[in-house]
Amino acid sequence: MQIGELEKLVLQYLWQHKSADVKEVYTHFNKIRGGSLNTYQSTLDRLYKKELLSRHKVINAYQYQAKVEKCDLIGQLIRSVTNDFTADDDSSLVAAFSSMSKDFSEEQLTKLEALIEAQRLKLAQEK
Amino acid sequence: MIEGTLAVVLNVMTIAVIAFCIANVSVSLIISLLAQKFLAMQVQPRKLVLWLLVTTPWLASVCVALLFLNGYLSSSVLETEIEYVHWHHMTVFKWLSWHGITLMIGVTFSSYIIIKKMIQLNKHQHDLKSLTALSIHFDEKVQEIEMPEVIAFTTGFSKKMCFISSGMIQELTHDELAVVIKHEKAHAKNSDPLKKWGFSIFADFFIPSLANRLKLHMTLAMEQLADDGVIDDELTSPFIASTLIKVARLNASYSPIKSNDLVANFGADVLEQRIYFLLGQLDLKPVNKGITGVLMLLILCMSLSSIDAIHHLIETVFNH
Repeated sequence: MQIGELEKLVLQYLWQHKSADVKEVYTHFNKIRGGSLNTYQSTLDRLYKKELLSRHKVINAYQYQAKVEKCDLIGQLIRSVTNDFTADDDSSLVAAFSSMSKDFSEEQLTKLEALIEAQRLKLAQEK
Repeated sequence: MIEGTLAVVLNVMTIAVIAFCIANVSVSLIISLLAQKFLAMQVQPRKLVLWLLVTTPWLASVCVALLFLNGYLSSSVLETEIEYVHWHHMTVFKWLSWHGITLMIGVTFSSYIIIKKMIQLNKHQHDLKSLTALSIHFDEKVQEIEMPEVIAFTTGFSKKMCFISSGMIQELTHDELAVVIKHEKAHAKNSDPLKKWGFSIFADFFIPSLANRLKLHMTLAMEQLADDGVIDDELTSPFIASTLIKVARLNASYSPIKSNDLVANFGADVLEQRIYFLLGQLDLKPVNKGITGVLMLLILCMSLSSIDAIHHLIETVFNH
């Protein structure tokens, strides 16, 4: 899934305003960055096709709502970016600071902390 | 039935596939027997050994194919003079024979791995663009992602980008954050995402359990080098180690700690190894170049000499 710059702005608008039709979106963005009604209509259509928006007809116009919350979408993208390799393996496409850190016990962490403290004391004594 | 030069090319490709399989099995045995020994090697040479291991089946298959081709092109030297290295009917190739089927399986499997990787890469690039669009500029080549979880990672091939979550920014002190950012920038400087991806392509030609083990060893080596790149007068190794522990604790608080099965134990070992490495507790030794060279040579010789044995063995059951 790829989100363009305008799509991101429209999504953020809908996350803030909950629901809007194309005219409301156009009126808001026309003041800030210009663009035609068609541009915003096709942006909303693209987001709908990407299943990021839902819509329902009110009289003759569609009302659009964000289908996913911002944090959910970011979570999905992070999972995809960091885990598109194999389920039980670290991702091959990223290098993470602490990628394995969920896989050990409190006891192991305490043991490692004691080791670090001992090393710190040793370094302090040497100085 | 194909005859002539094309048949020679196809037969040589079949030989390459068989040599690849023999070398793959040999390397798999070495990994199974010596995997724990890798941890005692110095980090940079260990990375080279891992690269050598994953590429050995390819190197062996190319060498064996070239030797056979050379033997055929230079008046069949190999066929006449070295009896154990030869191939029947080099100028004849049938698709509906074990030669043809071996070649088809080899090409299909290779294509499957490469296409799968390309699809993954394409999806990754699209999702990365979306994630970049939804993130905020934090520092040079560092983007902030608005989320409570504690996460930091580096990705991208030509345009490398570090991502850090707002949760991590909030939870860590200024110096701890400096450790994380310096660590991620070290990954970017070393082009680790690109190298990791390249390595994973080669590793995927091994059985999944071995492939995962190889990738974990490479991940550990990359993490240790990135940790090493953070150390300076202000950010000491015990401080970096304690930052690692703090991030590990924060990560654990966001998801339940898993029970330790074999993979999880190794995963835990990755953190332990990083801490031991930072604290100078590991007695890492240089790689013995002589033994490594002899092992590689043995694999090459085994691939070369086994071709004929396998050929005869299969032809006791199948025809050409």
